[in-house]
Amino acid sequence: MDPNGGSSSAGAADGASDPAAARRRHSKKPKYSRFTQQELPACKPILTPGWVISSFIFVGIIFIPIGLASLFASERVVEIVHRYDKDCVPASYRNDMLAYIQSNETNKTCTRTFLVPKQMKSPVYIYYQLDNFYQNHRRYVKSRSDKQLRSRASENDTSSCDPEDVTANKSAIVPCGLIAWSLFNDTYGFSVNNTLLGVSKKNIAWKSDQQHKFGSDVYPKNFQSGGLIGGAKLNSSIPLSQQVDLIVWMRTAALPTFRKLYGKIEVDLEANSELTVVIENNYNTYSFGGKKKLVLSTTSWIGGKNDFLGIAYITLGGLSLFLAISFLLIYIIKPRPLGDPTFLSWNRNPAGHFN
Amino acid sequence: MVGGTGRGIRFSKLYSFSCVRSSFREDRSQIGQKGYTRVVHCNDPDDPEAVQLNYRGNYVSTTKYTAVNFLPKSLFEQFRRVANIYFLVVACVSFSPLAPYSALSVLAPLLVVIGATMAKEAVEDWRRRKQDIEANNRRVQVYRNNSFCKAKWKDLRVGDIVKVDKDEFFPADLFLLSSSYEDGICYVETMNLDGETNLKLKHALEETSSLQDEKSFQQFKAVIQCEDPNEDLYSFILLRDSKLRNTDYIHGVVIFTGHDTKVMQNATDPPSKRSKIERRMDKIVYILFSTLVLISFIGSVFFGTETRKDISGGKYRRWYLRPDDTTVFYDPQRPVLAAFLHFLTGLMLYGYLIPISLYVSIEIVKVLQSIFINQDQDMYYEETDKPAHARTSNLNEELGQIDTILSDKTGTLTCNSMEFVKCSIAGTAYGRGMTEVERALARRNDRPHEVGDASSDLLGDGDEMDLGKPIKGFNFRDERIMHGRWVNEPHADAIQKFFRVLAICHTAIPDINEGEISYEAESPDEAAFVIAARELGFEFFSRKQTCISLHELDHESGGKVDRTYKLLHVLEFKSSRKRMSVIVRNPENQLLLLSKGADSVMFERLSKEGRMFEAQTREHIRNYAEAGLRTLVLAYRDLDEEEYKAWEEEFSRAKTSVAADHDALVDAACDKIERDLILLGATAVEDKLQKGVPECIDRLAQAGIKIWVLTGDKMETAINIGYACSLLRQGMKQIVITLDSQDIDVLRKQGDKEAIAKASCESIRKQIREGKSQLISAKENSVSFALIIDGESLSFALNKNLEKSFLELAIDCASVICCRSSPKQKALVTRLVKMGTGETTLAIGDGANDVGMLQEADIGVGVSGVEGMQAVMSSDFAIAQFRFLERLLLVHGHWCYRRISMMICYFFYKNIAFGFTLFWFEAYASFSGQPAYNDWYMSFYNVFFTSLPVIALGVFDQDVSARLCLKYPLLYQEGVQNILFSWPRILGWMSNGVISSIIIFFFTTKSIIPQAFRRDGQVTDFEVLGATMYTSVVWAVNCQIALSINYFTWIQHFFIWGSIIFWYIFLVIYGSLSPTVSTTAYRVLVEACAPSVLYWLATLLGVISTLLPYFSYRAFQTRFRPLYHDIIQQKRSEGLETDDTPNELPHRVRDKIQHLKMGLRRS
Repeated sequence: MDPNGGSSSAGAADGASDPAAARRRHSKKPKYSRFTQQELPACKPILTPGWVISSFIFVGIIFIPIGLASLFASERVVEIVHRYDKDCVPASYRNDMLAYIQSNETNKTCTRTFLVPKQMKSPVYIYYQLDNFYQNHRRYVKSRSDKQLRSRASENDTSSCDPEDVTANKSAIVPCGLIAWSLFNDTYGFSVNNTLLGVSKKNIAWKSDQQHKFGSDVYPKNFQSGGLIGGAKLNSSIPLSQQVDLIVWMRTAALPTFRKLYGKIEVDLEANSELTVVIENNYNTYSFGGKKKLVLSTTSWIGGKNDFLGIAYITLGGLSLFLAISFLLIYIIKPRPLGDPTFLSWNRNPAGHFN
Repeated sequence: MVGGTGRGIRFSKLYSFSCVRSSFREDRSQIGQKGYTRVVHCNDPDDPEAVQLNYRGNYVSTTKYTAVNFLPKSLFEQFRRVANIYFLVVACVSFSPLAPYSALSVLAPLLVVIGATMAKEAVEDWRRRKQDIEANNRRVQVYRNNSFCKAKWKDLRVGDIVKVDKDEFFPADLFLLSSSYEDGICYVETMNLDGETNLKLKHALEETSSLQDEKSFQQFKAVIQCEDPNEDLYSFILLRDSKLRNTDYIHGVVIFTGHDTKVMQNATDPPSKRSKIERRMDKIVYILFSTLVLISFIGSVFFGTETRKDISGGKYRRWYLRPDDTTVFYDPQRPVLAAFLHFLTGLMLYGYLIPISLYVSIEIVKVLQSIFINQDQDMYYEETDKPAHARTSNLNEELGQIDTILSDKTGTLTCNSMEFVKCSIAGTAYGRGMTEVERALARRNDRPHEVGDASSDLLGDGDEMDLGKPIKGFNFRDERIMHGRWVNEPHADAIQKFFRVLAICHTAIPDINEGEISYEAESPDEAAFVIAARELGFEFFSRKQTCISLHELDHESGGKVDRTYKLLHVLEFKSSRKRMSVIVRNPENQLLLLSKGADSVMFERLSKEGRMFEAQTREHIRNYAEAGLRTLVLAYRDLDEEEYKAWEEEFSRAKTSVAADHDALVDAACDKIERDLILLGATAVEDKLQKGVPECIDRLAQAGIKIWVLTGDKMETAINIGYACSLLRQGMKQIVITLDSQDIDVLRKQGDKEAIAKASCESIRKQIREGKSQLISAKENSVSFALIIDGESLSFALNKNLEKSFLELAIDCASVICCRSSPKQKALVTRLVKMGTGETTLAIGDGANDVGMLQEADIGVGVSGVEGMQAVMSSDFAIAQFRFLERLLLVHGHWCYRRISMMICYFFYKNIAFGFTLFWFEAYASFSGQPAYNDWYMSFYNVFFTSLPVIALGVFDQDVSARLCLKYPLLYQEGVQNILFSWPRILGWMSNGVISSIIIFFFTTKSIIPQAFRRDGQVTDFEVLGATMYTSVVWAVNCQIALSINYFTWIQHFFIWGSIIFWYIFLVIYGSLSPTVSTTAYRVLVEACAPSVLYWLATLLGVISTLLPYFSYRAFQTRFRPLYHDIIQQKRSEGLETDDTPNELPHRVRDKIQHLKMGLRRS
């Protein structure tokens, strides 16, 4: 029970084991851990027939229902697509449609009538679809000023907007840039069985755009005042955040064929009812040979009408099932073909050297 | 067979009792000439003349950079890489309006990549600097103002006199003046320089050895003229960074300081080697660069024609682009210029094809791989406390592709710890142990119990148990002479003399530690002799400058007596002399000359009456050589006083002569006294094979690796060792090429050199031709061949005109042994194999004589054995034992090869998959150069969303476990044949990338455009498409790696799934920044994409459909065209590999490889 004795004996023991301990301490022996020895617990997946077949089957049974569901959803959507760019040009101008659209004298109003094939539940979305229009062209995409759109203080931030940046007397154009300048300006008026239908523009723009990208204190200024008029004019008493058509247009499209929301019809359209559209055909797509289409569409959970996704899912699912079955058959017919492990392994051979 | 030829040369110069003087005198004629201009004013550094000489100070800096030049120099280093220059140019151009994206997003990844590499450089350099500071500020005693005072190392000047105490390092290269020993000797340990732990003796001039105290230095003035600084290590001085041992203090004059010192002059960078994979990778980068140029060109052609059409006949086609008021980049009036500028834009836009992070990722991966190699417990050698060490990290994957191993023998295959096993004394053979070679021979001849002495090896093993603990260097057992029983033997007198020679005729130094005596010897052979003498009762325990003392077993009384022999002269060992002798005066006042040497020189020096046992001894020596032992002949003679005196006079005249042929004179003088010797017997020392060598060689052979052994040994020894280490096997046919034919001997006697050369050349040509025809005729029997060639023949075979046919012969042989080869020949052979076959070679060796070979080969592996560190210093990998080579190659080499090649393939895949989506998008944006994605998505692609999984693949992936790698050595052929990095495979991965990009782009656009993509009627715009496609790309490339990985630990899971999750997190965070910052990413996920079912379905479709082609291919391939690792994995999964079949033997290795090759070709 003598603490000194205890400590001294411990000391002695330390002394005795010192060289060995020192060697151990200074040993360069790598420390063992499963990590450094590359022996971490791991799963080592390999493509056994079972795995291959079951994953193909799995993909098949997941994909086919998804495909069917999407196809079904897409089929449920009622969509009317009406091309009017040609038909809205009077026959006399058919040979020079460009002259027609660029002339100020010609009557641009055009009335089209068509039947609603199926009942369209409200809301019915109205789109215009342009074709061959490169909203994704680099020059076009860059030709805008986010700062200017956002706040009045940055009104003169137009460096990226050339050539639609300032007027001849160096006063900033708001909104500047080619995108705004080329704003779509066809308009549509709808009536069903001779009753006028209201077109709602509510919520056709993204909320974030209205709230954060387009300022409520920014008013159009010097817009479309130059020599060359691009597209629509804006009411300079309405702030940009309320100019929904502009906001929709300013969200540039991804591909040269695109639709943009024009508005919503918030009543149901009955089947076989006659829909009359009065179109103000102002926008010039004729110079680049682009089509203009009016699209009316309902939506389902998957969005608008597009069979591609559903068909792709079904095809892929079917392909997977087909592959699963063919692998299965091959395994049954040729259980151990070329890669027979016994074929290549090192088996003891009676003619070995050291026997 | 003289102990350590290579070493002997070096050591003797260092050791030498006379060297200090001789090397000065020899060179005196050259003093003042070029290369010999250095003048040192001793003890007078302030002398005007000395000041004028202006030699450098002792300040040392080994850093690569200084604070001032770090930035420019390291930047310069960085931009020596072509890829980095490309990225720099891109970054510069990105500030111009040409750039498709913002400059910052290009610059940021470049800065990260360059910064990371520079930081690594800086850290390494800082470490060096800390070492320098430490060294420069060490203190030493300097003689200043008539007394010794402490000064910093860096303040030393040439000519200063310093005092160094025991166990201190020398601060500069010193000229020894005096030491604590009267006769001015000191012992030096040069471990820091070459890793050799044995002590070297240095000797001061007699004239200065009396300078002992401060007073005596007051008057001391001298001028030393000597050679200029050079890298020749083994000359006359005390070298900086070596350590004073066994001596209380020394005084010395500083001769070379700082960077002039030998150790600094020797510090050169090893030649930098690049692996084959990296070289091929460069080619891939070129291919990608061409692709980049091509698609940019296609793009600009389209862009040019489209732009030109924008104005035709005064009409504006795409009026919304304002073609009338445009910039040069889109000017329809100058479409060619616009197209050219767009071409530059395209180069930047599709620059993602060339992965910026590839080089830095590979570097990181390789460093981590090296850490794994260093940390491998199975390559740690307990006995010398040495783990494996990857000295460079850029050759890891090359380890998996070795086609030919060129190995040294002594110290590499063998332990180089010599064991005294047998001896022949007075015609009687003693020693009952059985050597490994004998065992192998016995196996070979199928008569395991007939060889050797009556006692079998079983008994030998039993003996070892009896002895308790084995003594290092001593494996001799023979009850006839052990434990003092030799006195009863018939020739006891000769036995006594025999062991006295062993105990006295050497240059070892005893080291008494708590009653136990150990020896510091020049070579392991010498140590073995002294130890043998000690074990048999002749214990050497003290060496003074003039005498040697032994504890001896007294002949009559049987007790122990101390006997002191006065050492008169040491006639040192030289490789030209092949012998060493000492002249001593024994306690009985008799003069004796004791001598040991190679049989070739000793037998001719025997006197008539000294040849009594010559015949038996020769016979025994022959047996020993066959058993793979190294032999020496011992002899002695009595000298009479007169003869000795006369000779001594002549000898000292020769030693002090200043003529150019000084050495020859000394040799001649030695020769005069070393004659009329009386034969005592011969020793046989075994250089034991290292543990596991035969098994290792066996496995390597099974892996299809060809092994060449290059040794300095005699042909017989080499062949026997070849059998012992399973390099030569029964049933193998030997082709021997030698010049030991009679007609050449005849020519040799005539001495006509030209005729000899001509005849030899002809003879070698003939032998090679014969060998070839043998090979051809035996081809169908699948007999393997071994080629054995000696050094002399080799020198002819390596001639320009024979080289090719020799190589053709050699590569068709399974094993090749080159005997009696010089270091230079080793390097030449290595080069021949490397250049001639174009395959990857690995050289392994342990000694300074292997350095050339190690540096010449694609990979040099140093065995850190007993022969110092020179081989290790010039190697790329260092291991402690030959057998670790198996693990290094078959496990680490295979893994690293696999990892790196997979990693590079995948890297290109992921960048092509990404880069081409940009291109497809361009096709729909009239090639205007608008990227499909937000700038920051793109610049983070290689940094955050895809980099970690691929690093995990490069560091951790294992196709099969280490155990199975070793069990199925044939797996290694995947690397040798470069299956995993073959062009079809690389191009396959690349096209997979293109296919993925097509699938992702078209499936995504087709399914989400142009209809509403949400229930609320919103349509997909530019932002949503970018985010959706990018999501698919991130998912697809990460799932692709998950499919390719064979080994999933939590790390892989974390990195892969983490990268994907991080993409979403990034999108949320980045999207919540102000819209002026996030531009097109503003709330894109939260507001637009996430609520849309279509977004998720499109992602799923894109991912699964990109994976399907690869998955189906793999499923098909693993089943019907499996690679070797697939088969092993399959076996493992089926639980087949557990039924171990031990000792699987290499049967028809070649057949199997051939079969495998064909199988692969089919697939």
